[in-house]
Amino acid sequence: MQMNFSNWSNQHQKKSILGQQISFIDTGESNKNTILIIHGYASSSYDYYKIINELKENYRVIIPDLVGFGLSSKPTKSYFSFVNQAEVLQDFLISLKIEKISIITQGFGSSIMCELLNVIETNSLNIHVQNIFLLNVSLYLEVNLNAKKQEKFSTLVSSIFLKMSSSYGLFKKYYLQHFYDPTVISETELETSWELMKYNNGLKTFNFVSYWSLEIQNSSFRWLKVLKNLNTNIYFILGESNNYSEYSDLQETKKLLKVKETYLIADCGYFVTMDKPNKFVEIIKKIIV
Amino acid sequence: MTSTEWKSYGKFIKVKENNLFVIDTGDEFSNKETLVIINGFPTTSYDYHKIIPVLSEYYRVVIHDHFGFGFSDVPDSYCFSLIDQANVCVELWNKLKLKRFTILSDAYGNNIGKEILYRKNSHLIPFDIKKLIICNSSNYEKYVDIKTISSLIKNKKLIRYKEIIMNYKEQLFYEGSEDYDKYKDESKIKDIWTRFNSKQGQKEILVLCSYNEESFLYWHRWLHAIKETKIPVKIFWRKDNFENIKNVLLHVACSTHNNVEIIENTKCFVLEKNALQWILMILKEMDKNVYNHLKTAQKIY
Repeated sequence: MQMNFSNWSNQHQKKSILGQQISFIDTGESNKNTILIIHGYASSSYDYYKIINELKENYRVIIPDLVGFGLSSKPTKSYFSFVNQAEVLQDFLISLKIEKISIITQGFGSSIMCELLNVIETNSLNIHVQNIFLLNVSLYLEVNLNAKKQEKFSTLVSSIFLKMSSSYGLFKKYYLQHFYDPTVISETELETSWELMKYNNGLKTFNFVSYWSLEIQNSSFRWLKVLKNLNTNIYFILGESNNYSEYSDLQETKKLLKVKETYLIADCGYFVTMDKPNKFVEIIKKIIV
Repeated sequence: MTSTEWKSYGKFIKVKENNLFVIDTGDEFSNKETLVIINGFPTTSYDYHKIIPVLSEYYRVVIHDHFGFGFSDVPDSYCFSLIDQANVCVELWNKLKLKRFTILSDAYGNNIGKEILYRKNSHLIPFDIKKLIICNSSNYEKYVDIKTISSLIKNKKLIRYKEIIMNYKEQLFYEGSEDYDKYKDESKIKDIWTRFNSKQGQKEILVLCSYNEESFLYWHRWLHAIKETKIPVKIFWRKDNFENIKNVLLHVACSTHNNVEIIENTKCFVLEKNALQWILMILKEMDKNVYNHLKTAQKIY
């Protein structure tokens, strides 16, 4: 079966959280270990569709579309901050009565995760995070202490997102650049990703693309501190051919975070779960037993 | 009261692994209503020393020095963000087992008050907030220096303030500033620069950077807080404070709720010079009984 827009929408459930409509995947079975996936910017739960079936054999998999993305509400008139995103996730987890999770996250999602951890700590909530899996470009702005490099990276990323949101042609061009082997992505998959971005006036949310790097820079200290104090195993799972590796220094990052292990997947680009889904699942299954 | 006496009047409470200086005139068994003060910048809890003894006759008063100010610790890694300051409030109030209280927020503390209100509206915090008072206790002149710094921070050519403090040569800092003409006098620049490089100066920069950036990032969030709330909000404003007028106009434009009231501080009372008049003005709107009682008592003195 081709995973097109309508097949994908049918797998989603809806919930209203803090005035926003949240569309999400939940494979159920609360007796299994729970994995929460927090997706990146301009992305959605769809980027993980290839790993759901494999993962759900062992785990309960929950993937919300973040506010502003995929099939969830899309506020177009004002910026929906990390703080807002984290509060929504917090309430979402509470509404599903989840107390123990492992988190898989990428890029923009990793910053939301940090604020979520901070909200959990501030409100002393009973949500325990067991493992954290960081994919490419996670926490690049937070751990990069070189302000000029930081500025360059955030300008680059913002401009790429703006270009991606301007037309299907450009979206396709930039999206495919992030794969080691672009032929693993079918035209249907590209179209579905584009439709999900466009859905519900979504392209308008890109007007606020530059705000998030500002908010990250403003919140880095708080987030690094919460990560440092966290008693959780942190793993990196990275594609070896990541376009943005020059902006991060893995050794420096390891000094700031207690990284338990780093997995490099050969012949794999930015979107690990789309590019090499089987390899990825293999690693997860080895760690969460 | 000297500041040392003031220090002995309060206590230190560990929040986020650092010591926070807190004045709490009651305890969880107190039968008085609770009044929480979120102070401003650059004021500290000490600036309220004239009114807290008066207020404590009627309320359990809780006030703390924000991290980085007054007697509280300056944590090693702290971003002076308003969101952080709000988190500290939440943790402190939980530790003090506060349940129901009125919040009096002052100047810089106003956005922290609004952040707390937003969380309350979204049912994210367990407190029962009776009222929110938004006001400004300081003399406008006190902010003149801060305005200079904040206009420099808005200089778009500068990457980040931390970088500025560490690396920039004096003159470079002012190039590209909107107010460049003002800084052609070299001795004046030297002066400001020396101040920037002092601990206090760096703190001011960090605070104001966060303040400016967050006012922008969370603008809608905080406006929304006032717009959507069911809790009575009273906003005090003064003709001579432009920042304040701008905010009041926005509230008027956005708010149709009758639980939000806007009150003018017609005589421009400030805490420093007219402490009692200032608090009476607030109490008149916040708590009529206490106001009447205090007014009568005052006549007796």
